[in-house]
Amino acid sequence: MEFKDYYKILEVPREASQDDIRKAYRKLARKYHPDVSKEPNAEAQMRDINEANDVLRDAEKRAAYDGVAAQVSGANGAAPGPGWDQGFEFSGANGAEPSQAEFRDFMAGLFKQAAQQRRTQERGQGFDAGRGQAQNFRGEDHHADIEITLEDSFAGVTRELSLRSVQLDAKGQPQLVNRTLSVKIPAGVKAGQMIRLAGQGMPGEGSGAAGDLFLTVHFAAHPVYQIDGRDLTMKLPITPWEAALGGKVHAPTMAGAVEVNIASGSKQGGKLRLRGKGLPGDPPGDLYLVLDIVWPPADSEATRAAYEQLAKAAAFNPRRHLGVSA
Amino acid sequence: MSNVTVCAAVLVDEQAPVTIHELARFCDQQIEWVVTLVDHGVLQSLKQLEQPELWVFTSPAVARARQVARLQREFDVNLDAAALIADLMQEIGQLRAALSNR
Repeated sequence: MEFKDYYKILEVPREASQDDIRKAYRKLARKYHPDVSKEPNAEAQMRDINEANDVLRDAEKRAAYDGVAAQVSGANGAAPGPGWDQGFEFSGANGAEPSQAEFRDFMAGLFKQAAQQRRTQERGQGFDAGRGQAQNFRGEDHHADIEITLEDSFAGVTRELSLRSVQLDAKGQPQLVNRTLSVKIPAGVKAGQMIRLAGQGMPGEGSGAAGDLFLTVHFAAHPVYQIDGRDLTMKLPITPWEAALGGKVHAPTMAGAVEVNIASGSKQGGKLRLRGKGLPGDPPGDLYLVLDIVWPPADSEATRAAYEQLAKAAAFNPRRHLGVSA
Repeated sequence: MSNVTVCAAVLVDEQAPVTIHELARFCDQQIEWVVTLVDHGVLQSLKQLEQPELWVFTSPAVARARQVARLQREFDVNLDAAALIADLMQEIGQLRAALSNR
């Protein structure tokens, strides 16, 4: 685990008061909170900001952190000088950089403590939380996001996910483990839909069951369709004569082209609904076609003549309702 | 160490919703907090049952509860303010989607 300078993350000096830290946190939360932020990488930034805030806002954790930080980077935040680590015994370094191992233990300690407090609360009075006894805890759930394409949702897709998680080895030391999950995502999945992968979260303690992994689905922007639940919307370009006279045109759908009837006198922005042609499901979504009248350019003798003829024939003033005569 | 595990994905929907206990756990809260959200009309259980123990929730409710929990925790605001922010964020999202449709 990389050492994180929480003061740097919150952009405050080491001697910052609790008020300063609170203000700095508010400011950064407004900027990076994933619910309100447009910054790229907002979620990862916010995670660091929250982690820093959790530690620095708690006097006890802050003191513990300051102690470790002083060991890692030398006193007063200066760069570690030669021999800074002498006389300090690191546990479980195993060739990793001592500072990192120490920091990892510090973080593991903090979060373990918090998790155990929470579990004890969850189980209420009757729970035997005696120290040193073998305890069976369900593993923590994990939450992650997954981006798929509209085509993936239409047909269903199998995705390989590479996950990196910390697991305890036989000696109880945290180890980074890479694992690959092959996940079959069913057809008709909607944006915002959660998917549960049972038993793929953190392993349990003792004989406790493993937690679950939850994926929240997001759609990549699609060049043709806008997505709203299972309904899809697309612009369908038509010619002025198709709009005026009506006729049959071909429209692409996720399942291939279909023939649609354009009513005579159709207007720009008019909507047609193709029932059941959206994303599959029960019930399946609909496909909305928004008519977009496209005029051919007057770039040849013949088309210019045609426009001139139309101008004479129609005697049409679209600005009459604005009170102008031409 | 690397291995491939093939697993079936289960959609969190009407057929397989999450329980009130699971929802509370996702939000790092007690179930009383979820009950308050439902009582205040911030969240809706899939089935309107008397006993909160039997309440279940689908994906949109989970997303909303987690958002409200985040807002409460990270901006240190009360439930009403967090719910209002969540409503406004949802409306902005819908407006942005409508704009991109034009």
